[in-house]
Amino acid sequence: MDIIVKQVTKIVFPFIVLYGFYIALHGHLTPGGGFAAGAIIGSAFALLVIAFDEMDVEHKLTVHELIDIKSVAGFFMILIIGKLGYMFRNKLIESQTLFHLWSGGFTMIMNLAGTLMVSSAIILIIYSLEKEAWKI
Amino acid sequence: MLLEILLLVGIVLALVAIELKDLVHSVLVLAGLDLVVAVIFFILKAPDIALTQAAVCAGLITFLFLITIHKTERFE
Repeated sequence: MDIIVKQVTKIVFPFIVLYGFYIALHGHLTPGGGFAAGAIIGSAFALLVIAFDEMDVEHKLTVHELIDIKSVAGFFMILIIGKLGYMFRNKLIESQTLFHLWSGGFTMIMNLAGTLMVSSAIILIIYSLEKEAWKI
Repeated sequence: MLLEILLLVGIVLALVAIELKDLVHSVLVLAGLDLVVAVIFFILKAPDIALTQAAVCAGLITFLFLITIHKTERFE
């Protein structure tokens, strides 16, 4: 791609990832949640893959197996947090104040686990398609 | 009033996306249509659906279409 696209991607990319984590952390207060945050982070990596060539992206994205393990870890985090939230929700809610960031029981940690799962799945799809596509 | 204008713009963008012969231009017009649909969702008071629509349809679907066009032919 052009040098303009590369420089703009270098500037904008961390802010898109930061906005995704903001959506994930405020998922119980403002619109959004785990899936929307994961999709935003995944589209940031799609921008990175479009702007740079294959050799440059190879250093920025990690290996396949790590992303795979992240996705499975998000799934098991959701299972474990669901079970823990069923047992400990009353104690946790009593220690929190309403409408603050740290409220809503286990919802924030659950949104983070969903973000991990969705974003790693989307990054895995993008990376494997990109390795296939530019090898013609 | 704004809702009707946006719906008309969406119909026009969909027809243009069908009629264009260069498929890359067609995909870009389709991304514009998805942004218009996201604004319509926001007007109809569903902001979380609008957020997901803008992130998935205008970001990821465009990327998948571009990779598919790169692997096949560009012109219809």
